[in-house]
Amino acid sequence: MSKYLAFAKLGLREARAEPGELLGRVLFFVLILGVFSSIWRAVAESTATMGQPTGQRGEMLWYLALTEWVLMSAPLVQFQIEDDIRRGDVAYQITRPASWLGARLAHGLGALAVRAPVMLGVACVTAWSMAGPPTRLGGLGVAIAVGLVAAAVVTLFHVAIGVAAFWLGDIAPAYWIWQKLLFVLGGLLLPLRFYPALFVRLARLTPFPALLAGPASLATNEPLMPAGVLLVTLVFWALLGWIITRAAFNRAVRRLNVNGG
Amino acid sequence: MSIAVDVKELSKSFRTREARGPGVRARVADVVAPRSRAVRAVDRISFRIASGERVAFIGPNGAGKSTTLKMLAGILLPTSGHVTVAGLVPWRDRYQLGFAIGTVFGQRSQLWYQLAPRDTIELLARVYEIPRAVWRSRLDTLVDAFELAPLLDRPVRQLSLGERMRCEVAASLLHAPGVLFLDEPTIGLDVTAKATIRELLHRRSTEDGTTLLLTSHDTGDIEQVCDRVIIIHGGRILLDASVGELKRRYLRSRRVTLVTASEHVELPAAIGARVVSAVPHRTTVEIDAGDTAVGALVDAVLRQTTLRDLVIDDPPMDEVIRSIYRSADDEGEAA
Amino acid sequence: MPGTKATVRFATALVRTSVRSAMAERGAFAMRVVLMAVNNGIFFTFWIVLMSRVPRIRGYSLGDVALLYGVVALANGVAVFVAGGAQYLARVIHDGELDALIAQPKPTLLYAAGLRSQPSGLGDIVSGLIMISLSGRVAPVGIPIVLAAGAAGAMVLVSTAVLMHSAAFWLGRTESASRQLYEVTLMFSLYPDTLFTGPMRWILFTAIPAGFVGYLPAEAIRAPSLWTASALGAAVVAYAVVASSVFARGLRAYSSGSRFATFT
Repeated sequence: MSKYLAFAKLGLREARAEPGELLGRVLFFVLILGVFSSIWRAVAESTATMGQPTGQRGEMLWYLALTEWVLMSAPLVQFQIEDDIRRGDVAYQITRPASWLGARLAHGLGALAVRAPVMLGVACVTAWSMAGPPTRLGGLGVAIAVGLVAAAVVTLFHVAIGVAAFWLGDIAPAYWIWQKLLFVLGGLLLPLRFYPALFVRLARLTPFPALLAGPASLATNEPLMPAGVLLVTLVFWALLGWIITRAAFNRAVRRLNVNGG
Repeated sequence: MSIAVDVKELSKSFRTREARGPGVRARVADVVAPRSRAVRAVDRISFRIASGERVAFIGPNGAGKSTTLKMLAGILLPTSGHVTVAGLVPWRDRYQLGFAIGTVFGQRSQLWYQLAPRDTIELLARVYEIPRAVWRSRLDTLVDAFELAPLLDRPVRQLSLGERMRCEVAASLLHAPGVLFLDEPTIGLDVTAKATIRELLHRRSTEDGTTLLLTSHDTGDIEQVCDRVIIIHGGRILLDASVGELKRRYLRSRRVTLVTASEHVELPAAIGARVVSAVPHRTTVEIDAGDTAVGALVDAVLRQTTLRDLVIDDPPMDEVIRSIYRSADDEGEAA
Repeated sequence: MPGTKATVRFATALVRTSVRSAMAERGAFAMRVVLMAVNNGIFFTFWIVLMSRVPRIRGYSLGDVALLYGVVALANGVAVFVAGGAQYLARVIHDGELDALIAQPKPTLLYAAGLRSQPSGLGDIVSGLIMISLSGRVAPVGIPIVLAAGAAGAMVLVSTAVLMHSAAFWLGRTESASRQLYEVTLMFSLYPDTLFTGPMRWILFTAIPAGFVGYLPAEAIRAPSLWTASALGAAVVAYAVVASSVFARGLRAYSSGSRFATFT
């Protein structure tokens, strides 16, 4: 166990040593929040027909801030993994005692431990300054707690995408698709209740809603599902993702050994 | 005989910015108030290279070789001094200079990785504005000389390092430059590939009259390609001599390998031989090449045993050069 | 400096070689193209859903958004497909890969920008054109204006990339920061300009030329006029001039060795 902790610490240290990248993400975060704040202001103007008071905008912004927070905290480990696989470093590393996959995940979680608090601080400050305090402080607390778990699961899925490099070679297009599906089905910019009912039912079959919309909606008046149920859902997807990733990885390693790398 | 490269009192000082270290505060401080250090990479060097000469530029890491080469190619601006290459001032007449020089970087390929060498060559024809008929015929000559026929249409990523280097050098000669700069051209190549490249360079240069200036760590490059050596150390020229002169002046010692019937030999101290290696039946000594030294050595050995074989060699060039560095360092320390 | 004819011939040969290099691995190329188009489609569903509930937002209906989106996709597609090297300039500068280009008798910026064509650009171009045609906003003069507007937006984007990445001449490792700044420009181009008021609007037509990548080209397509054409033309020229001067300055700094120098 301590070996994985060591990898996590390494990830943590690396993330701290690259403030430029994090700064860039923070800037992006604030700007995107600004853009969407403008969109929702414009929407509120045009929606006398929606019968919802403009106060709704404040909740929207906190929702947005939280979905963005979960998304942007997760380190982009898939590209590092892709690099490792392409360079053939994996062949050497898998003979080491620590499970390569476990090490990579630990590394990502270490980086997450640095990014998540920073992004959370930025999220709260920005949302507060744009839309005032959250409607339910308690809800915010729960949302943050569950959001951390969700961000960890997103990191796990990033590892999974990285492993796909064994077959795809170049995972960037696969990542784009995953990311856009996460945006849309995960309710990044638009809470799921806006979507047609059938759509939402289909979306629920995927992990995406649980990752973003789930935690963020806990801070609003219409949570997607109760916190407890959400946690169970997240754990379920995490386990499923992990099992599939491990199976895929072992398969790839076996093929590597057979073909001589 | 025209002068291809003329360098007078050339100097280059850098202000390198030093990073304070990792971490946010250090990084911010680096941007707001950068710390810099002045380094003299090249210190008033002067030399002249005639057209058609083949010169090796050697020196340890950090000596200033690549910096000098970059100044000659017009990539870096000197701090002071005068340079002309092919009659042009490199950084001022960069466009015309481009047509007159060629470059080969051993550590960085100029061939497009996913495409065949022929595709790179077609692009280079446009870069150097060579008329179709001219570059077509020149390509044929180069393909023959470098034996590129089986390689020309295969993607570069499928070629071995040696094959790639052959294509690189050929491509660099497409526009028939008067001067060819090579930065570590044989690095990473196996013995056969090195020999091939060296031979090709030497032959092309003698046939076309191309001036060669190559930097290297590999003394084999010197011996097999070049006629002249310039040794750079700490930004200064330590030695500028022909290869023959280098050997004669600094090769006062000889390496003698004695293959003897007996397992070991005893050598009287008076002979002044230094044992380099001694395994059963085979002793190698280094001895000053005086008139009687070798003879005395052989006599001494024959008194003890019979000689099965005797080999007399020059010491490896490496050692010669290393000793030149060492004496320069010693002088530097004494100063 | 080389004559115009030689430069144009070189530029076409360069782009042709770069595209061929990108297409060398057919499967990977096709996948990138298709998936980029799909990618754009998925993201656009956000607008489709939002506007099914709120048909007009500050004067923009779905067709208007589709036109804007398509124009930006087209511009970005052309920018990264034809001048993909501009997206990697910071890395090229930092790694010293400019040296080999400087030693050749062709303009360094042109050379560096024309390398590394990105296959995803073709996907952007295709999906962009589809969105533009489906938007129902194209004036009867049609196709030539669409192409011209796309080209103009592309030029502004390339200039933006060159500007952002030239920071590497002075600041060293700016690759991720330069790339993020470019993405910020792209992001702002994608959203209706009417969302932004006051000082923000000014920024969108100056420091972050998003207005000249999305809004103005879209206007040119929807309602072509001499005014939009000249404004767009002026912007293209202005940004190109600024970008190439900054690059030239940077190149001079590079040549005098005042950067995070590594040398042997």
